Amino acid sequence: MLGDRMASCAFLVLAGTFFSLSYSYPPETVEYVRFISGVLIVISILLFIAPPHKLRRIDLGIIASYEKVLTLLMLVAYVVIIPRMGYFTSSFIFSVGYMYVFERKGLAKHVMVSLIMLLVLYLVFQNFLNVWFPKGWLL
Amino acid sequence: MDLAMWMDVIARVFSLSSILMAFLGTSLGIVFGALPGFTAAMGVAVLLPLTYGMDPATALIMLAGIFQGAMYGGSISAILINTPGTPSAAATTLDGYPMAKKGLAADALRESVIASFIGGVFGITCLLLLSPQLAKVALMFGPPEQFMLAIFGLTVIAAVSEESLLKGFLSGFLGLIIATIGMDPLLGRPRFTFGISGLTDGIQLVPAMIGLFSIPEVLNIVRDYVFGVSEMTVDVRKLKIGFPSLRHIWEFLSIYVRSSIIGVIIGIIPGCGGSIASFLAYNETKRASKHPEKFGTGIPEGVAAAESANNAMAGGALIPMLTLGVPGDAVSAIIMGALLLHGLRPGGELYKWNASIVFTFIIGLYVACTIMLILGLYCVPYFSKVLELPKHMLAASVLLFTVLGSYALRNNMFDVYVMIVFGVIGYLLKSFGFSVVPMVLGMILGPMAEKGLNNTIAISYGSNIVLFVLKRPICLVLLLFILGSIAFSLYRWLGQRREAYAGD
Repeated sequence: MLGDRMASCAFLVLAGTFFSLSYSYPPETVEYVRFISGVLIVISILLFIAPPHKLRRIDLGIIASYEKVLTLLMLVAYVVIIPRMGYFTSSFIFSVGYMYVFERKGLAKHVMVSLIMLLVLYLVFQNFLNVWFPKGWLL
Repeated sequence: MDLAMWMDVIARVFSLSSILMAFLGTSLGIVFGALPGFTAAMGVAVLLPLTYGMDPATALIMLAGIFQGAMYGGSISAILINTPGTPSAAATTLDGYPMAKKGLAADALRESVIASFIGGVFGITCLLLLSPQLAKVALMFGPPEQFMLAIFGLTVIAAVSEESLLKGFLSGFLGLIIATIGMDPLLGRPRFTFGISGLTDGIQLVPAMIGLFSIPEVLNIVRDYVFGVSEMTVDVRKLKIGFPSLRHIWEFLSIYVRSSIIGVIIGIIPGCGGSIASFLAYNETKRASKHPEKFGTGIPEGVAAAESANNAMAGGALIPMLTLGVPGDAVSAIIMGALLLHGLRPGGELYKWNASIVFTFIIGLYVACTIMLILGLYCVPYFSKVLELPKHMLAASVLLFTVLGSYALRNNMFDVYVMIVFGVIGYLLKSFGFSVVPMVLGMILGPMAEKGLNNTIAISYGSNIVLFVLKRPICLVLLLFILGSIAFSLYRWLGQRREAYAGD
């Protein structure tokens, strides 16, 4: 698959969106935006028409591999539960869960490592740097 | 620069807390630098939250340590496992790993730390001597000059983009367009916020940079290693490095100096990066050598050239960042984010009003460099242990840190969402062959360019804006630079096309 052409299309859509949206604002505040998005459109077209064999080919299977998608999904789930369960509880669940998903052996070790890591973060950030984190059901 | 200011600088740098922070920063930097797949930029971005609660001077000293440590740390894994810890250390593998295979790992590591120290000190000295002069010039900059400077920064960054010129420009302009989200500077009304209240203040630079520099690296180690442990060919416990003889340093002095000069020059050019500096210095040293055929077979000259160049580059990259507000590379862009976080805006004004903090940072770099030398000579066996850490644990801890760092900035979950979105954007850009550095530079230079343009229009009082700008000598010089970099870009682009058609 020609990755560069996909990318140039994405840039075209983005630049086009900003260019068309700029008409809903007072002209003096968006002249700069129109200039930037105009240049972006021109460069995207230049990338699209580049010789095909010079274009980068990509393998979507590698870009969106199981491990990467799973990592991102777990990260999103972790961030979603932070406001409900609190930073430390959700971080503990995420850390143990993440390590366990990718390394099925040594659950006790994962728990220990996560506890130590969170204890260090707690001591450094809350006690030393006075940075406070969201509290939830447990901690 | 008066004596009282210098006394203040010395007192700050050599206080116990500063030394401890420099030590901690350098150690953490070496650890991050040594981990394959984790870049120096990522190390600084991920560890940036540690400085949130500190006063600006201490925070900068710690960042200086992380920066110096990470630049050097990359060579440890390059030498021991043939995998550069940071892209800047890629040239170090050429001779470093063959030396380790010959049983000369200790010699290679010694050469690496000595060259890093000399290169680092050279780069910092250039920063110390050149930046105040450049800052004086920067004080003469008005809105038109700032606009031209922002455009120049972007054209240079795109022109030197490694893979493709068009992609460099696209990435840079993407950053510029992202920087327009938020309050418009002219009327103070929300612009391109898509109804999301969190975007009213614009995209916060630090969470965006944490995402851009950390998430792609984590996702790449997930795939590349599928969570194995790096293979070590050397028994690190038996490594005894120690200080080299003065005669050895004298014999290699020309290599150190030549490579350091190359490093500083490459560092000053925005967007070039450490890998270009180290490969260029390596090639120059090979060209100047009496026995070029031995390069790549495991000789200390190769390690010395690569390491002194990439560490000197670090000092050079800070020159345009501190004086003009145009970062020379990804790490200096993050350090610029840290400066802004602490209410310090890089540029000529920084040297005028906050000179003691700037010089505390610069002298802190010397201290960090010295700590790096001591740690590199006597503690490498302990740092090498991180290469044996399971990657799934590293990935989990980095992800925890990225979330924590983004949240702790303003105690706001929205910044965490920004970090994740930018992490995904960064990963996709990298996967499609784009560098994220021009994008970050675009995000930094965007407000400067827009403000400069708006103010130029305002102060030109309706006269022809082009003629108004061209009447200013600094603008003319900057315009020549812009035209030069565009001409260079076009020359490269046409060359690429010619090559492509020749291939047909």
